[in-house]
Amino acid sequence: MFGITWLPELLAVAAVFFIADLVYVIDHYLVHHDRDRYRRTHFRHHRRYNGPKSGPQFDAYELGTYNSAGFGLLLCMSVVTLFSGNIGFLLGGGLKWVHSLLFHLYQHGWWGPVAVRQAPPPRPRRTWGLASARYHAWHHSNPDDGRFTYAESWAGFDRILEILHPRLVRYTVDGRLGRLGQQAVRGAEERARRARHEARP
Amino acid sequence: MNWLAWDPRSYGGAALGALLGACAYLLLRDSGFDEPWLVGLALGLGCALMTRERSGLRGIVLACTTAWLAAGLTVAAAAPAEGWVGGMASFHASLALPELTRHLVGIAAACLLGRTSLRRGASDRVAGQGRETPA
Repeated sequence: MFGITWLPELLAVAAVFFIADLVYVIDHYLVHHDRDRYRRTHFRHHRRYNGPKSGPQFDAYELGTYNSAGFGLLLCMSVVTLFSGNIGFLLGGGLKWVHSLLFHLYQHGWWGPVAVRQAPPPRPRRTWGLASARYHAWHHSNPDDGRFTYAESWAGFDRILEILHPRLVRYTVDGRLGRLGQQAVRGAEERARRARHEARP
Repeated sequence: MNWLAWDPRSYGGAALGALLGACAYLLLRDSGFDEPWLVGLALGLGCALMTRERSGLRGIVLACTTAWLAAGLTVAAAAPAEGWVGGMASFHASLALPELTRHLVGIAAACLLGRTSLRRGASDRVAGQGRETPA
């Protein structure tokens, strides 16, 4: 029906994983540099990983996030399949969805008696290779570490982000607010200096 | 956090628009006016008229829905010998540039209209903010 020849389909699956992970890594970086959004949404995810393993494997936030993102990706990839005839895009979207859910379960210690935090993984090396579940698990137990381990597929995204971070952080919500704050402080200092100057006899 | 920007009012309006657009497309097609972009235009308009918030993510979802709906109607109306499922599987091969352009125009219309709101004072819906806050 779709005339499967394997190589184009396999390349399409790999491309979907690669691009979806790129989007995921960028959004993950942005949410960790948006204090307000982090506090209202993503923080609870890290708190669950770092607390005792008592809650359900998926809470409402995690189910909503993973499933709506997975469904959205699957929907987009289904359209690419429709117009290209390459079913690998659709398969890639479905596999990425399953991958996200299984990745989460593994890292929350689904198969073990204790959560990752209670048996933390060693700090991963700054690798440019594939991102394993243990590599990403470091981020869950150490969300503020300067060694980025946001990636779920290719760790190279994290290395690139680490290189770009000093410039990129200025364009995040926290970076913009920080600049505005600095400007406000400088403005207040300038006004105070003028007031002192004018008050002199 | 819901990445689909789910809201019954917005998606209900889109569904109503899609129904009207599909009927209009099939009726006009019989008269020789084969323009699948009508589906995307009606679907996007239905959503934009009903919704109270702007959402880029919703625009993407509606663009994808339009792609499938317009393709499905085109294949159904053509009644291919291999059946509807077979026709959908070979849909990409049946598209010449003019047909592809007509479909892409519909998808773009659904995306642009679906992400906006024609109501005054509509708010922006951003993933991870406002109504996205989990309970």
